[in-house]
Amino acid sequence: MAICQNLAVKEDTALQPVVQISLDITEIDEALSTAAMAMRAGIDWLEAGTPLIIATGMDGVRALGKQFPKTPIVADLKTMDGGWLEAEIMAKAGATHVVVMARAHKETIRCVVSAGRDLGVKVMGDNLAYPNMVDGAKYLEDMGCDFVIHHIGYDERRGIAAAGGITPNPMDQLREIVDAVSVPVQAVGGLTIEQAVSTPSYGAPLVVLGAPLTIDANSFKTAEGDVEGSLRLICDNVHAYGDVPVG
Amino acid sequence: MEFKPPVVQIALDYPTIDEDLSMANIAVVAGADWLEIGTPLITCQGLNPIGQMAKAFPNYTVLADHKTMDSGGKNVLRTAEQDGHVMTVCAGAPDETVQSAIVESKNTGVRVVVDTIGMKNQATRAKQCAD
Repeated sequence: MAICQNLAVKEDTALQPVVQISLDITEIDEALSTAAMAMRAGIDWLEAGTPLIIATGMDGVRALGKQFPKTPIVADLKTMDGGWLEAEIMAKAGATHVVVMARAHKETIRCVVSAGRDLGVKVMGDNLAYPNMVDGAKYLEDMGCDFVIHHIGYDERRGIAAAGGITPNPMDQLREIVDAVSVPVQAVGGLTIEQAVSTPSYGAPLVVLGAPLTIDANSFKTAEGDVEGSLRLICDNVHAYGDVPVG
Repeated sequence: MEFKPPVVQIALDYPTIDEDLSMANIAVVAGADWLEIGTPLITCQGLNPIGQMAKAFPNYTVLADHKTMDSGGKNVLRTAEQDGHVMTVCAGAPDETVQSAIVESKNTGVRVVVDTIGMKNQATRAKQCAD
């Protein structure tokens, strides 16, 4: 791929690209079977999506941790308060990464970061709804978050489209976000599969795919038309980037 | 559920439904009007506690403190499915999230409380959301 050549020069900090599947599913059994399929296809990280956590609490996270003990598990709790407690609950349930919102109070972000350090979980800061998303990303890094999630929300995308506006897309500002921070960035919210797969070429090494997975991308259709085969193709493409310079 | 202010709401911030239910028993005897399923319980046990509380106290208003930041409409529907009466959305969420919650509120009868947590100008945003 041409993109791989662009990344051939290694910088001091570089990360192997990661494929994360966001399990936005409300039943634990279905989340586990989707996770198992995704693992066979070569994904690297599992995410207990907000809908799974709302529906099942820490049980969903615990079930994923039990079945996939060696796989990083992101708990997308979107913490707004009680930062220490929420991080602790998820860490005890087996999460390796927790998510705090840039829109939470500064003290909440501080508590989540501090819990992350003490409990050995990584903290992802989500800039959803921050008035200036680049400033939001910088703020999250300054507060000590290990990763930045550059995120356009589901309601925002649908609401703006329904009102006849131009739907915002995380790709719009991804380059600026990546340039503004030195921590790894992931872009989420309304990306096509092709866009998601292209994010490492923007310097964002963490590729997130949503499940239930809709393989609407022609470039990743397999002869059999199966989701697992398409996901394998997607993972192979992302991993083929090799090291992605970060920072 | 009829809304007769002023109300006394008790926030049940325990990690298990059993602890929430036993405190709710004390609270209603003492005269509380609204029973809040706190964020920690939703974080720990998901949506079921909302339904369990509503079933245990059918004559009381049950509030689910989701602190919604996205999927506002969906969280109203989830609350309605559990027979909850009120839910929370954060003022710091996008306008579209607050609006989608209000649309489903009108469809389901579940009331929406906007929480100004983390906002720099809490009064202005509170007024915007009310409008």
